[in-house]
Amino acid sequence: MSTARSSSLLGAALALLLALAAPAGAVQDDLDAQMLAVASGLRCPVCQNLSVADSTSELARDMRALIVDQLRAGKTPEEIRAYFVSKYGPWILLAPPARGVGLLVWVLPGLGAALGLGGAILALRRWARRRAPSSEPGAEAAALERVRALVSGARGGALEPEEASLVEALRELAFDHRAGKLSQSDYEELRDLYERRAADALTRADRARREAAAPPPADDTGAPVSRALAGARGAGRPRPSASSPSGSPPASSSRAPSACAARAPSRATR
Amino acid sequence: MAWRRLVLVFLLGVPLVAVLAYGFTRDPREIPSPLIGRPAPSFTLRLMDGRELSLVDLRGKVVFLNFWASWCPPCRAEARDLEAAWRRHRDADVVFLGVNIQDTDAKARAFLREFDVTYANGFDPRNRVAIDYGVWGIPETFFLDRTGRITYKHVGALGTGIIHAKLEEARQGVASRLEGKGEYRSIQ
Repeated sequence: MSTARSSSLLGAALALLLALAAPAGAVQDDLDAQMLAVASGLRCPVCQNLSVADSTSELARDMRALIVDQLRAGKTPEEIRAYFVSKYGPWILLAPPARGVGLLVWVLPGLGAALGLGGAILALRRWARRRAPSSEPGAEAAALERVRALVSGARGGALEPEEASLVEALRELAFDHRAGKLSQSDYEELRDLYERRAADALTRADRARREAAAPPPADDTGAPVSRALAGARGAGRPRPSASSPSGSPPASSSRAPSACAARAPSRATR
Repeated sequence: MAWRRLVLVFLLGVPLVAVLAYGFTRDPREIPSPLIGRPAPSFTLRLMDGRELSLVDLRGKVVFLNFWASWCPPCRAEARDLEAAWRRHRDADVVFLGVNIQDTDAKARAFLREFDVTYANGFDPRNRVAIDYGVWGIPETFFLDRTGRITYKHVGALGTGIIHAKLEEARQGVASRLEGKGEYRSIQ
């Protein structure tokens, strides 16, 4: 920042000095700068991907001399560019005009970036949905509420075998904790895990009931999702706690993941 | 799910591959000329014998304008055909004019002697005429009708057959829609 400013200051001072000392030289510099501005926008006709300003070819050198001559003759940079386009066509412009086929060059990169970004967002969202089964936080909270209500026995009702076993596991967990078999941190960790599983099972059972009532959608995306869920649940099995006197979670709770896994394929084939 | 992904890959991939394949069929050096059908840019040329020749003086005649250099093999390849065509058409209000570019005086003269060229040839020392005609590969030939309009442009070596045909078209003032292309050398 400071170097840039000091160098630009230096440049300005130099330019001022030059302007004071040799007006003709300053005019020449200005002409060269204008020539380079035009030449750097022109494609060298006998090179590959080089501008007329950058090329060392004889033709590019003569083109630069021609630009200087035309600037001296009072032509504007725009007129000089138009001159070269009239001889070599729009091919000669390094930046193609934004119309016709040239428009594609301007539009496609943006379109590609937008499509790529859209695709990435879509993929990320799908990925996130696979990781967290219920995408709506409100529904998840409600399901958790229902699980807690079931565990505390405040609400009975007909339960699917899987739900019943999960609720039973939570009750046993609470019992073990009260009996002092589980440390507070282990209890909280396991409770959270089982509660989430039970909430998932409830939501899925609800959805299954709703889908059974309504005709099943043509979309088949449900199957891989539930398969992925079953896999994620298998991987998320709690590690045996060192502080737990029994050394392993309550027996009924270990059934829970396998029960989920066993149920999931039956849904998937539906 | 799988077939849908396959369709998507095809919809995106096939046009992309098609565009790239089309690109391979094209010469990246080729510059389509906007000059065909337009009035030929005027110039004054210093000829080999020291005289000066202006294009304006040739108004009313069909002009065969050929850019060449002694170092360019396709220019050598077409030299005999050009001289033969000139000898056949020289009495029919046709003027052949060679423009030597990016060359040395001595080598250019040696080339003309070697092929016994009898039509007028001039020097374009700073490529001014060449740039004015959008030249990028030689030999490059322009056919001008009697009004001084460019009727045809050919990049690369010419044969007698196409020279006769295009001279006849220029005589009748018929402009070609497309330019021609043969073997050429990119200029420097």
